Amino acid sequence: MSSTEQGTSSAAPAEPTTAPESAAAPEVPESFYYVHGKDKVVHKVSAGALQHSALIHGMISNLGYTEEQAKANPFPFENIDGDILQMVVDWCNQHKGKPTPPEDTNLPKQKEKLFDLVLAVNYLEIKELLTYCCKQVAMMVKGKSPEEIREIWMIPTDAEDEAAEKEAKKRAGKEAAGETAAAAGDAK
Amino acid sequence: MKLSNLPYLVQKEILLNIQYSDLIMLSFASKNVKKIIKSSQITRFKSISSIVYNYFLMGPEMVYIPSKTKRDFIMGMKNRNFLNNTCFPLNVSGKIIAFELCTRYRCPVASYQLDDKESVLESIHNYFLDLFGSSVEYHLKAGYGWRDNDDRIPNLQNLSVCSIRNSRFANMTNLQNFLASNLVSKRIYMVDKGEDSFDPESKFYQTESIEGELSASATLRHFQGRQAVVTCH
Repeated sequence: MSSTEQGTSSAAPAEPTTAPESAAAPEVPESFYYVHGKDKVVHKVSAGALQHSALIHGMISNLGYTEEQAKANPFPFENIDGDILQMVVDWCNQHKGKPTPPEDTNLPKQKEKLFDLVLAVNYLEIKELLTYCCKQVAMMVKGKSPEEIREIWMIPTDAEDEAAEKEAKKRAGKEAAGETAAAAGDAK
Repeated sequence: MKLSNLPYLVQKEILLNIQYSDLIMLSFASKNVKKIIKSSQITRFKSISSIVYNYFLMGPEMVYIPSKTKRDFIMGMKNRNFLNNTCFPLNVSGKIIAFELCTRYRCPVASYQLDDKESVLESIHNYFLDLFGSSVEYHLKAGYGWRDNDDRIPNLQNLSVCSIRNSRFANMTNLQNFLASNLVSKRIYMVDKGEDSFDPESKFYQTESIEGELSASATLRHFQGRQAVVTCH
């Protein structure tokens, strides 16, 4: 199992100064947690960076995970591709403890990557990043005709929707008939 | 990327970030998408102050959403003869209309032929009524005097406000017919009106508020609304 050392902070040792008493309080060492995606590559992320994810933050606080426990059992996100999780971790590290800017230009330009990122970010409940991603997705259809939009977002035509609906009804009918027949067989 | 594979709340957030003019184009992609737009953008659409139709006044014929600082152009209209080659047909409330995308105003532009101009706007208005809902205030700004005075004002349902400029140039029969058949729910502004007064039974006198250069005696006799502002010279 490999590990990336993302987001490790290198806090400089505090010099003795004549600062006010409150500033002289000892620095609490930052705790780290571990996550992995579909590719099982473990990413080390600081608790501060993970604050962005409501899901992980909730898991830590509700389950009372200690750093040692987290190290032994990284949070598994089997539904997220490794490279997408890497992007998420990078973003969380870059924006750790900082106010998020109104725009983010570092999001992937490829449609499929952006789509996967949206799903991952929505699952991890990272509100700010989800907003950026949604803005980027929205930009895809700017100044486009309905036909172009249909192609970009793979929107089925009305005829395709109707055919799919008919097919679903047919399948549901067959399943219901099968269940009734099975129930009748059981009764015998 | 398949839009329908995204969770509803994500779809809603994406749609929230799309400008009105693009949202209109998206609504033509399919009936299901239009349904999602209508159900997910209710709050946004309720916040629209009004939709204004700038119809045969001087300047471009545009539909826009006004705000304190700017006009958000959502659709334009232009003569089919001036349409470029990259136009595409859309079914707008049962009427097939050729559109093009205008880079200057960054919105779709519907084309018309002079003899079906009103019906094009009527179809667009019906489409907007269905998409944005009837709670939005629809405002028609129409005018006479620089084109064919026989131009008919289109019949638009659920019109809240109507401003008619240079009506002294209008074909009075056309204007009377418009006012007879359309109940404008809130206000009518009649700017630069001529001497002719309207039919006493006209719905013009049933409007909540009328304003303009009107015949004071006729207004006093027939007006049934709440407020009439008569400008005298």
